[in-house]
Amino acid sequence: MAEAEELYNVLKEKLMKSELEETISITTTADMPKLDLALFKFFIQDKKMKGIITCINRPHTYYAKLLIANGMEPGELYYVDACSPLLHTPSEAFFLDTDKPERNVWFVRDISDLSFLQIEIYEVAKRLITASKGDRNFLLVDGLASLGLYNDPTSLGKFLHDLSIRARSFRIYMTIIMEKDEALANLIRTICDNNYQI
Amino acid sequence: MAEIPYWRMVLTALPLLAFIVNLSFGVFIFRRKRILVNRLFTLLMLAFCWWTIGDVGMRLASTNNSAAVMLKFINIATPCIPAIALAFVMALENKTPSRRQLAFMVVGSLIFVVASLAGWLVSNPPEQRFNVYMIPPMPVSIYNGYVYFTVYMMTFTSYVIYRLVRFYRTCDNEMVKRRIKYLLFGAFITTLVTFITEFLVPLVLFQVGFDIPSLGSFSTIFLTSFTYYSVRSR
Repeated sequence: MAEAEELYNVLKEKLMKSELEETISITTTADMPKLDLALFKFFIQDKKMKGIITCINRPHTYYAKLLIANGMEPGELYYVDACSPLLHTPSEAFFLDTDKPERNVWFVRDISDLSFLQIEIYEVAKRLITASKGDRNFLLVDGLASLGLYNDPTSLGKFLHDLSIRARSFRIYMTIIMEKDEALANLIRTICDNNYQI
Repeated sequence: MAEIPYWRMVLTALPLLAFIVNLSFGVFIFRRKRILVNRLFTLLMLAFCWWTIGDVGMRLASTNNSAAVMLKFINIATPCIPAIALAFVMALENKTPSRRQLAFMVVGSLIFVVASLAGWLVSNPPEQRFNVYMIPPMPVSIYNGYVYFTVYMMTFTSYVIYRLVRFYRTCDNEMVKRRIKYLLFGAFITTLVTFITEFLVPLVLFQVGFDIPSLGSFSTIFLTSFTYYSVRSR
């Protein structure tokens, strides 16, 4: 399995070489946290970008810790968290009302209805665009396999298609991470400008 | 119409204000998700409401006897406050109290409720100071039930705050951690004001010529407000 540093070097070689590249997909067998870290290093450290992370498999606190451990500032990013409302401890339930956004964290209570996730991502994207004042931002979408457990392929495909169009209109660099045998692989390849195998 | 003395107006209005704040926040928390931690905090708010409305009643009392009855009424709720607070903190920690802890929480509270109702807690009836009825000054003596009550309340409350500090240190969610800080700050101010005005003044400071009104029930407003801020701030 590739280490985060190797993945980072590969990404550095490939990503954002053209202005026309707005939406990409990465097909990988690498460990997700390592790939996430490599992408964060590329987007945040190298490109000084702000971005949105969809937290489908891991809560936003996980990403925050990952960023802190690697010398990056988690407060710079926006999180759309579908995990915390399911996982939360009593203290989180008491202090963090997951019905409302939390500074840079937006919670999604139900991923079986993708419109909830869609609405939250748009809300965050609007906020991010206002905050970044014309700078380019990124959107990281992973956990498609998990979303596929709760949604039929058609709904998931519509969701990704709609999201990619909106990301382009917002000038957000959208990165979709998928497994090798992803059910929607063909659709994702047509949506994206470039598809990378890592 | 006879003019209402200044101190009487202020010292009656303060716990009334705290009552309104505590009741509102209690209702707010009660209407959130039906989970133990929210229910326990609502119970804590209700205990605060009991204390504050009892204080209003005592300050409005027209006779010494009715003030004494109100003081007994107040002390049905106050011994339970640290026990409810401990149950709340343990629920925050996601821990279940052991049988021994549960027994201590229930028995400890019950002893002082019974002692208060039997008239063993405060030896003398309330007296008028600052134009309102207040806890009378009492000697520090082994025969004085209020000394034991002070020790019980302060030890128990300190233990609750200690647990909260320990939880703050071990909590790995930065957002929750930041919020516990506000709760801790509120709890600390409330405890400090209560300790000084409800325990230190009647037992020690009054005897050396220093007197300030009882502000314990009013000080609950600090805990409630800081907790409200910690829960609602974004």
